[in-house]
Amino acid sequence: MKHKVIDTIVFCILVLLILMLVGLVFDIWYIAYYPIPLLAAALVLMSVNKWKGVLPSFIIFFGILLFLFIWAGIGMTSQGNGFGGLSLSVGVFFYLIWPFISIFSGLFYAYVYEKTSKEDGRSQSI
Amino acid sequence: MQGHAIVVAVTVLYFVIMIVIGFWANKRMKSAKDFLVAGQSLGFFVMAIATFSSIQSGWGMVGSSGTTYAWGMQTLIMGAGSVGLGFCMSWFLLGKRLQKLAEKYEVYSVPDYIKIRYGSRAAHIVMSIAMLLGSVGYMTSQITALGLIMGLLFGIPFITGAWIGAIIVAVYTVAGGMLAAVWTDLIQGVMMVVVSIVIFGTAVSGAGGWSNMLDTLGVNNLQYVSILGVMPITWLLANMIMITFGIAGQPHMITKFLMLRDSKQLKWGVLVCSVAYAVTTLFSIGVGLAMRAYVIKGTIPALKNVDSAATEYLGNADLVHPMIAGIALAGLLAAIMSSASSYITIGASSIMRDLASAFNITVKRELFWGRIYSVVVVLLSILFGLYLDQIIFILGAFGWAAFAGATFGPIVLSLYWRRATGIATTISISVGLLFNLIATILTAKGFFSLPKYLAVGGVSVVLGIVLFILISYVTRSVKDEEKFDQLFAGGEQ
Repeated sequence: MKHKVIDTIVFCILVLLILMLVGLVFDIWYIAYYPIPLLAAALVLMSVNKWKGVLPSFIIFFGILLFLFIWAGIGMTSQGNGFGGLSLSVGVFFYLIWPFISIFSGLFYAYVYEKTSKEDGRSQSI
Repeated sequence: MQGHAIVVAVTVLYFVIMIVIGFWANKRMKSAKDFLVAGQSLGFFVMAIATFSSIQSGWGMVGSSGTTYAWGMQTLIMGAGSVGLGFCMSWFLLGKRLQKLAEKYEVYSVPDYIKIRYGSRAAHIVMSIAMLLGSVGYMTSQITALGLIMGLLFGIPFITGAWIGAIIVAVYTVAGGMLAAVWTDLIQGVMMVVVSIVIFGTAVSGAGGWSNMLDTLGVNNLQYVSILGVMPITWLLANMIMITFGIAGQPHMITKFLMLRDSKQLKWGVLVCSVAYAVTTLFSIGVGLAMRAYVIKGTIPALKNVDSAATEYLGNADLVHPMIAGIALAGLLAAIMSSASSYITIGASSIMRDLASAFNITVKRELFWGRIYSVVVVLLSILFGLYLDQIIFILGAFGWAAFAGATFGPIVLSLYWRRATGIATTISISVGLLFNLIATILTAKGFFSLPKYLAVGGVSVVLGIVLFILISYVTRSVKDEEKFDQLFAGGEQ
């Protein structure tokens, strides 16, 4: 990946981190919360050298994660126990986000590893 | 009584197996490479289980059971629920690059990487000191947890239990170094997984089943099943950020990538690690929620100390069969020991290899001195943990958050970002550690109190990375950029 692209991603990471910091220091939960999946996506994006052939898997994985975070975020300030005995946000975290992350992050990595290793084999570099 | 005898026998057998592994590994010790990075011989399964079991410490199982009892499902939100994402990012960010650097440049420790990446002596020294402080700090908390669990298992005083536990970990780690640490971690990790499944099933079924248990909790107080509970949302999110993004900055995580035999071993690591961690999280969810349900139903009185939720549950023969409880306690012991063994070796490396080379001291018998300094790290931890109460809370400042804030930028970002600088590394590590130290001392001594929503850990992680990026912008170094080009030459950048 070109240095300029990495520089741009690092700048995006900086912006997301500053948003998080503002949210954490001034008690604005949604400013700290929504950048979490975006920051994870930016870091993963930075780490992969060649995205040819694996970009769809990246979009699907982080698309689903972002959707689930938004869903949990919508119910963040509501109480009740209508989602499998839990409130909406906790239910989405416990029944969906937690298993999704625990299982599919591993499968996502394995898929990207397999695809990019073939590319790495051609360039023989780290 | 017969059940207790079986439990004692199982625990003693477990100790014997750990020591046998230590001496098996000892026979294979020929160099510092064997002692510090297990001879770079690990396959994916051993590495992944060793990684998860060293990350899932005594706090993760015993402490989280207490917080789940006190706060309900908020505990899941504050960290465990997104740990898998932390593992995923760690493998993506650290995996291939660190493994190949370790293969090519004899990188056996985190400061070794700093040395070749920046060529800055100050950064090398500061990182070495951070590793030493962190290892002793982490070890100290494991020593106190060992005393607690050993006391429950054998009915012995806390200090005696801590000494015996520490000596057993020290024996197999000193004998077999990191090789013994990771192979014992494998057995300990498997024990933790099995125990967590059994205890989750026992605890939840004992409390009336999953749905009934949640109904009991929800009817009594919706806080236990909601995110709006005891702790403010922002505080929970700060901890989620600290744990999720902080994993990649933990020395016992980073070092594991230096031990792989080749990069092919990376492929299935995230899956094994994430699933195993998630399964062991069931322990604290099951025990914490079931204990709360028992209190609501009047089966047991309210706990005087929430941190004792796991030990009170396992010590109550009416709630769990003593034999299962004993095996579970051995599983908790495994969780503590698996974390401790990694810290001992990393701490020894920080003195014998990292600080020595930072001050241009050549250590001739690295293996011998590695063992000597492993003993020093254990003795310091025992001293601080058992006899110098006033120092424990200071060492507590050099924990997860301090490391995550101090090392994420200098290690993780610098693997990809050419503009990362040695000056930024020195400053961000120093500020990260000092920020946590000062905040810990000032709040503990009552000089000021923070708002309830403000979690220092989360803030220090984010602040540490922000600081690193900003300082790198203003201290651009051609020398550091050239170092980057040398390390990662080959065209991909």
